[in-house]
Amino acid sequence: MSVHSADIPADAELHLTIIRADGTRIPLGRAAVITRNPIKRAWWSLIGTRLASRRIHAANRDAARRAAPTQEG
Amino acid sequence: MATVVVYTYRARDLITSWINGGTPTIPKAVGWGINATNPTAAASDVAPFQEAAEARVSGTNTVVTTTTTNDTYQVVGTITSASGQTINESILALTTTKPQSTTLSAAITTTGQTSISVTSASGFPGSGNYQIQIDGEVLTVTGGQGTTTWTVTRGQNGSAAATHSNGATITGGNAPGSSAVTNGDLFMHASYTGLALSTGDALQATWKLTLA
Repeated sequence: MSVHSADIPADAELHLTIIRADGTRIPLGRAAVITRNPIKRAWWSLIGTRLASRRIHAANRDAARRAAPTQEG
Repeated sequence: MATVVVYTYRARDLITSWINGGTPTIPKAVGWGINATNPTAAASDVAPFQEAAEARVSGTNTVVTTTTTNDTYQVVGTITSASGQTINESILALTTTKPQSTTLSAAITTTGQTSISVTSASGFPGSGNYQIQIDGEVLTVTGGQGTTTWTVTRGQNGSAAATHSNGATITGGNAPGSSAVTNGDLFMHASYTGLALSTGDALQATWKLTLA
């Protein structure tokens, strides 16, 4: 991802929370960020995006687990 | 695909016009998208890549404090999924009514192609130039309005021309200085890793716009 500071008028964040049909809430935290702060920008580019994707992948695994048929005696 | 959120060029155009005396419209319409190719959101975007079937919602807008008093505009909106689907983009727009969309009826196979075939022109402007979004590319329709064969100028508004598959979603939108497309003002656009939702699952989106 390339970021040009001149293109960024302000900081912005998108936070996501899944609310499953059974009412379970799964906060995913910040899913996307843009910031003028170069340190925050570098952190988000190097670490934050990976953490966000990891949280989403974990939620997807949870969804797959819920959808899988269960064996009950 | 990158995990990114952007203010669109159209948003900057709108903000400056509001500061200059125009009547502001509160951006609080929250929507989501499902484009299978999952392009990266860019400031040049004029529309979602492929908006999902669910209706946009009017979010709850407030002013909150992040660093200094009342420095952040916040919108919270929740959409419930009507089917099993993977969400990979979110938008903040000016209207809960979606802009018109259609699909390509033939692939765009080169970056220089200037005639495109669409499934339907219904709901798009019948005359005058207007912008459309196909995946990550913005195009200007300059001819064939009202028909299913459009003459286009490629790679508009700072986007890059690209090839596009047959069936790709085409959505109308407004570049800075234009209001030709009804409900075509995209304010913010985010793309992220695909998030699987089942029927009945909901996704709460919280947009935070800080004036740094």
